[in-house]
Amino acid sequence: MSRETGSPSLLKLSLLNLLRKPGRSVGAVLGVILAAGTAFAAGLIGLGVNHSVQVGVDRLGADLMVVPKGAVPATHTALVMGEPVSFYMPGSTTEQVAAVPGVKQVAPQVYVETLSSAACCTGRLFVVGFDPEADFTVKPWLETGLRRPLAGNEIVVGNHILPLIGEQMKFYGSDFTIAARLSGTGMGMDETVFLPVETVWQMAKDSFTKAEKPLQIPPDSVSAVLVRVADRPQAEAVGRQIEAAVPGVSVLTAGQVTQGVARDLRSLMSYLVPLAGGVLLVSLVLFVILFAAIAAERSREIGLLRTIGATAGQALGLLTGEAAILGGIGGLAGVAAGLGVFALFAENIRVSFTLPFLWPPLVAQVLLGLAVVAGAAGLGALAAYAPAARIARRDPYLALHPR
Amino acid sequence: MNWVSRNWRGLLVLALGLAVLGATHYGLHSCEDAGHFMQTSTGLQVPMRCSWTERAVEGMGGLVAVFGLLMLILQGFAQGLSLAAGVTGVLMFITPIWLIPTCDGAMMTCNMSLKPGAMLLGALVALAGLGGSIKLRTFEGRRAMA
Repeated sequence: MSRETGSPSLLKLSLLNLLRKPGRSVGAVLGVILAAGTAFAAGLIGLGVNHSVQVGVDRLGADLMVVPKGAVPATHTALVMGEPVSFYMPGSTTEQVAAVPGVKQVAPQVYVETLSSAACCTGRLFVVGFDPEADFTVKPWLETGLRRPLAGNEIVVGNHILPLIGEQMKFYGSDFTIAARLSGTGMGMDETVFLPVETVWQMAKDSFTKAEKPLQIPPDSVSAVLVRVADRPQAEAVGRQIEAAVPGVSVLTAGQVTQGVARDLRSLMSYLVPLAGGVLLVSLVLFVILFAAIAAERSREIGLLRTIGATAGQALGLLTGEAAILGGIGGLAGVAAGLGVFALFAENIRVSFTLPFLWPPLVAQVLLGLAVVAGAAGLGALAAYAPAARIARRDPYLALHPR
Repeated sequence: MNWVSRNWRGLLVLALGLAVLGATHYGLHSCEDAGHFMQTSTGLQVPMRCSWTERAVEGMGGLVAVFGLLMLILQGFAQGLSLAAGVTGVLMFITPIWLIPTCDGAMMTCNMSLKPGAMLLGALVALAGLGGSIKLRTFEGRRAMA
């Protein structure tokens, strides 16, 4: 074995050795697939949740949300999952909040839960009435995306709402045409329908004659007031001032939304991390046992290679290379399996753990996959190192005559 | 070589078929299982289309189990039966997305339970059936050469 052609020959030898007993190779690789798949899925969930929260909070455009006292948990669920909520406070709250020092801009919103329709299977929807003059959540997008204001019966829908642009939706007996669809955020906005607040009042009025059940909203009321503060780092302090100055309200900060999501993510990770860790540990032990057996079984082969001129390093490289290849293949298959299974159950996981999720950019996914494959290959080589080193460093004569 | 070692492919296909049957019947839910129905203009409540997806997948699970059983009995036909089980797995995989698509809403029970479950089980059956068929061909080839 010449030094010039050492590496390719070693690689070829390693591959041939693995193919010699495919059943054993597949067996060893199964644990790696499970560990790598779980690790990749966990990483993907972490990246996707962070990406979604960033995009969602940016789209919301608000530093604070002022809601009736006690409505913070429901608002959090509505923001993250689009679960319909409806609660109201006096309309004067908007002016009271605007008067608090440090508040730069306010935008009132009115929330409506639609009735589940018998003719349609999409169930309840979360409808948000926004003030076209003051809004900074939908309006900036309308200016760049739709480039015109909404007409009286037009609505904007979140990315997951089923009907297409131009199709009709019926709420409380009133028909609306979908004018635009917002891009995905992975958060509750994807399940939300937006329409001007004046249209909400008209719909409520008409519901008494058109709907199975009237939409009753206390007159001159709002559900939430979105707030932009003058100095972002001071948002929490401004929030406390609002709670002190305006009676009967609670303030939800963007930081609280992020913290809430992080808490739910920790709950999911408390299942995934021990699972991945446990499987990884078992796989490592299996690799150590397997390569101890392989090394002992191939003692004569290694001895022969050493006799014809291979160095201890080359013999070590042969065995650890095999382990790295096996680990790498397992890692690659694990990434593919983790991606496939996660893609199938993403919606289920999202709902079960109240998590927002938006697929992270492709580059991030590829880098994560490469890291998992490299990790699996590296750990495979590491697990095989000790038994491989023992046999590779043995005197060639003793290796050729093991007993 | 003992009986289990000789017949593990048939046993695997049989186990997967029974798993599909059991999972579809007890574990994976359609909208009907969750109590959701469509209402016709006459007021009649009828099952949504995902109910038929569920029944089709359940039937395919039964078929795969029969293939597995036949692989154990008719060992001379094991390769062909394994291939048939693999193709049934492919059908199972595409049933909820193409043959009998589940309901439209991403958050509906069928799309959160039946669809991913049937696709995952379909992929496993396809891998086991098609992989087993290739392995059996190699095995038969070696035996013929010997």
